[in-house]
Amino acid sequence: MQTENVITKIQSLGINLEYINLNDLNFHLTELNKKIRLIDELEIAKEYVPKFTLTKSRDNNC
Amino acid sequence: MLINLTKLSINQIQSALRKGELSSVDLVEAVFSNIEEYNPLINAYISYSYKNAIEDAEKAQAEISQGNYKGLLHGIPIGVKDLIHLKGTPTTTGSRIHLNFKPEYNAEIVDNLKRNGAIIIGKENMHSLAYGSTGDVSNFGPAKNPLNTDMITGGSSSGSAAAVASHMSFGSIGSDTGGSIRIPAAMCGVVGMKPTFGLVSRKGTVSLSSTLDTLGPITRTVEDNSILLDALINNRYKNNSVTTYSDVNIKKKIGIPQNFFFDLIDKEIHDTFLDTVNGLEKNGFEVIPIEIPHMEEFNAAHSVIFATEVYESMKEKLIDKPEKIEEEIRTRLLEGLFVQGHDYIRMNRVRDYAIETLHRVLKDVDVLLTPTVGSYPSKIGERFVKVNGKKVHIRGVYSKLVKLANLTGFPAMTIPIGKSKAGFANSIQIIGAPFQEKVLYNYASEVEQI
Repeated sequence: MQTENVITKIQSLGINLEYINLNDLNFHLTELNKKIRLIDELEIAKEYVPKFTLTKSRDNNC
Repeated sequence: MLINLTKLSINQIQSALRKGELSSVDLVEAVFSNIEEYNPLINAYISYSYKNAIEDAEKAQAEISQGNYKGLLHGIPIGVKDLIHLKGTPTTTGSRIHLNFKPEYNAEIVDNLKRNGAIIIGKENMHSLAYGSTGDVSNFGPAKNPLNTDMITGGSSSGSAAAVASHMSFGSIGSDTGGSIRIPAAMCGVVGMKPTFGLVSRKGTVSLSSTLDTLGPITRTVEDNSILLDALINNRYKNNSVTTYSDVNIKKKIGIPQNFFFDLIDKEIHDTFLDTVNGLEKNGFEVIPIEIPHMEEFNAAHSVIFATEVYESMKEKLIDKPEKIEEEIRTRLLEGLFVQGHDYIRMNRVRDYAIETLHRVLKDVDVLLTPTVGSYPSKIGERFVKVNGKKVHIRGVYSKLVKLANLTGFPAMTIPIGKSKAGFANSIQIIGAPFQEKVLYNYASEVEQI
């Protein structure tokens, strides 16, 4: 995402930019974006239908 | 005399308590003597109450003397991470933003612990909002590693691991969303269990990531860990006690991943891990090489799900009072703002595939063994470490080996396996199938004896 767009999105929440370290955020967003793009190449993420789940544990009462 | 009491295991203490050889009041006195001496140096506790602990100890002692015995934790001092509600005591989450929040009720696990007779002595320091693997960002200052106080404890259950390692409690309850029990337990040289997702109630705790957060025990021995987990488990899952782990049937087959887990790892950690595996082989365990495909993608899915869910949990506070959230945390929290809904859905498909993959991998073996962390603790405040000469960000190395268990919900634990040449703790991680905590404890017990 373009830096200007990142700034616009943060400001749209009403957060003052002085509270944000934009260099650090940019570093972490770049890393996050790499992870999302990694999944782009995984066919399973597009059409996988689960066969096994942790049914017992995924209905946690919390 | 008092200091030595705190070095006993829970089982040893119980025997002495029931025989009348020591009292719960002695134990509390001994633990608080250590807190007075070590907490100013280690900074493991945010708050504690000697008065409440002594009152509870006197009550426990009277009950034990009268034969009204509540179980293996009766009269034992235990600490809890400061995101777990203890009625009338602030739950700060290590952050300025929660300083004035005083819950009017106990977390369900606190009630469980009290029902089993435990004495809750205090609230333990933690990485602010439980969002970090180092433990050195807290409104109350960093918890320090008892093995070397210049170094991090690991996080986010930093104070919980440090308190147990420095004998300021007999056990602690931490939480683990991306390794937050196992990383500090590994770095402080103690035993940490992240149970199967859902096995332990999270009612009355501050949530970070609704599909990843798991509470679990940190102790000095495997047996103590099983005793503490037994008290925490939700009643509906309590078919039998996990303390009977030595009776469980196992295949004596261990899976060792051949890919991913050793790509970025300190050589001494790797060598120590191999020594332990060799020790198990000599004791009659069969070691089977395992390939786990798509590990990079599984870890990526964990990171994206984590970022999305923690943003959702904390966004109102982030928007309303950003100045009250520590800078590193508030910047990280914003990552989740930039994840799109369809990406979150795709990551959950990857999670389902990871669950299937791990079930398949564990079909022929009892457990997987891996190192817990790829690098020794960094200096407090540092964000890059060198692994075999290569400079890497801590986020890429401390939580790399532990996320799979959070993504899938499978149980995983860490056990200390001695010290490095520089005096840091070495550790090994055991990952098993859902609700098979007894199998993990059985293996951990084997490792403990090597």
